[in-house]
Amino acid sequence: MDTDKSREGVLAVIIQHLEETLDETPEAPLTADTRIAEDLALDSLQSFEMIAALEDHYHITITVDTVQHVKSLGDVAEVVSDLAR
Amino acid sequence: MLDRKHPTLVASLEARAGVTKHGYHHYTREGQPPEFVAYGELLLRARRVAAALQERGLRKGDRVGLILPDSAQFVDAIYGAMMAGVIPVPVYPPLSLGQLDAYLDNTTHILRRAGCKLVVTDARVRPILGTLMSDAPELREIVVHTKLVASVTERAEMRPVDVRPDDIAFLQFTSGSTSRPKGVMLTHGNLAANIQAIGGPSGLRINFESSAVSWLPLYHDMGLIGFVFTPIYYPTRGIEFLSPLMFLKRPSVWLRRITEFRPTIVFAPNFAWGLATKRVKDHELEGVDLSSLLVAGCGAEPIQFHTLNGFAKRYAAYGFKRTAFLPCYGMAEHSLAITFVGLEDDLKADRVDAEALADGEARPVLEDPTAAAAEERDGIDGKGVIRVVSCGTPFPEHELKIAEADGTPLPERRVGHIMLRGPSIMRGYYDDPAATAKAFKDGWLETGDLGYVAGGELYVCGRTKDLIIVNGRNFHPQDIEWQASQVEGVRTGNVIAFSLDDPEAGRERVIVAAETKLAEDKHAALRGQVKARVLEALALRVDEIVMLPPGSLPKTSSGKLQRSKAGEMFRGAGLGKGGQTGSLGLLKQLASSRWNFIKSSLRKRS
Repeated sequence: MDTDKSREGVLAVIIQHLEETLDETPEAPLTADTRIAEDLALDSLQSFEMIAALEDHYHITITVDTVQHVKSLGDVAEVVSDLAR
Repeated sequence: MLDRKHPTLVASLEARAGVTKHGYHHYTREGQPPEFVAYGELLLRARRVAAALQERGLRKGDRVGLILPDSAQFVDAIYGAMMAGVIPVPVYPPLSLGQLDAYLDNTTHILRRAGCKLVVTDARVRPILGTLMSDAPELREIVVHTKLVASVTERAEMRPVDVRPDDIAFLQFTSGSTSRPKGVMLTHGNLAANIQAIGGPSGLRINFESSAVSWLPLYHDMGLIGFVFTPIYYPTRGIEFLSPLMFLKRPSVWLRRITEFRPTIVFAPNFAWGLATKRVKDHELEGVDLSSLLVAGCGAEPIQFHTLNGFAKRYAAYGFKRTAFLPCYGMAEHSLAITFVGLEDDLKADRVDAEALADGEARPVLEDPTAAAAEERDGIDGKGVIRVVSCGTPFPEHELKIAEADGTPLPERRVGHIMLRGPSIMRGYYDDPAATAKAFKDGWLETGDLGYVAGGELYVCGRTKDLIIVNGRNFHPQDIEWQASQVEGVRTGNVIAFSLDDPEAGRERVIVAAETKLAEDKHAALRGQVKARVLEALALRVDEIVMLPPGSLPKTSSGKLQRSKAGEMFRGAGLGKGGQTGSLGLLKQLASSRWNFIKSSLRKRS
């Protein structure tokens, strides 16, 4: 299967991962604008778990410093999309 | 053997000048070979940092803040500062994804209290620190490590500084509340005493064959004293560092580096052993071999038997021996460690009666091999049973007593306050005589922890303070409560934060109970806001938020909130009854929960 490495494709993978792993289903649907801290309340363990899942999916290495400044799911998708292409 | 001729870290490092074969390996880029720095090379680098600090006008006794995520830069900076007699103040770098405001606030408080004149950081962190200068009056400059080093030539001579055993080696900032951080002052003499005990015949028996792999943060006691300082006193085969964030992202990296480097020693807090059990998938384990490990230390937060046993079970097939586990007890105010279990001893836990323990007595339950085996299989203690892990015996020349709050010693198997005395104890908190006076009672350091001694071994039960420890990080309930109070709709001053042990998850669950006048249909949204606020401000994820009508929270007659009472009520489902979905399962889990219960009963006694 061809993996969709576009920003939208990565975002879909992120959302699927979160829906599978979060204990509580978020109230609003997840979008590119969903903020990692304010809306999802992910702590460092959970956010790094998400990063590791993306590494596995796209067979890439996401170094810790490239994701230190992200705020929203869209930001993460952009970083990953750039690395995967 | 420990080098007794060199009682300071500076002298010990100088004595290693000729060593070119052994040293530190820094695994900083994933998939790339580690950078190797031999002790001899480190000495040259440290001298150059020292010369650069002197060049900038720093003198013996001045403080320098170190915010250096890169382990190689951190190690030469901290030794460089020490060589110049300057007191290094390690500060943690930003940790999670995008929560910088809280980070900057904490950092400013630390730098201000320590009166740092200079901060050394790296090019990635530097832009974030923009506003620090205006809020810390004594801070003159924030300099990037590479620029600091480049400001003097490779041949620059540092002016020799007489560093003595009584001089402060570094400040360890710890567990004060956010607005009032406390800097533990440790002297070279303190460190030498503790390191001698750690590596000596009653400790790890460190020798030329010893080696370690560590992802522990270097700005904190276990990583710093255990893995940066100890190898300077003892000749070893070397130490490999990887970053804490690498471990958090992918715990299997730690196991892979162990496989590669073949260390004899690793240490990690309880949560990390759980994470390495749960978050590692089978396909990540191909070729993993943990058979080199003679010591798998565990400390820094409450130790859960089932967490460690779960790791041992899963990794037995990968060469891990449960006897490698070495639970220990320690704290920053006591340099690092106080008790270790014996090197060859198996993981050992006391099975005691839960109810008796709540009354302060550790009464062993009748040994029932079937029940005990079922508990180990299921990873949870049976009804009415609590397993407390042995942390071993105190080091030689170090004293530990279990006492009533007033200092009166208690007999074996009675739960009381853990108090300490000996050469590893801090000189006090930096520039804070009030906090220092409070920390000692008749010459004994009050640890704030509860425990009992049985057969000469220490069993730690919990803390007298309301401190909340999550994944090795300390939180003061006051800080969490204050943040929650800032959310509109929450009644100011009517918030209680507390934690309850969750044996199944192997960690503490953080609970916030808050009063509100808002109608019930608004509670869900309010809970979300409180959760987000606390996370954003403190980088702490609250597990459960209970919204209550005004007047629900327990208070003393003088109107002060009662945290331990709230914990008991929560466990007994007397708090927020019926208003919460999802709490039922939690309450069931917490039925076997214990420490808060013990704490409150002890308070009643004292």
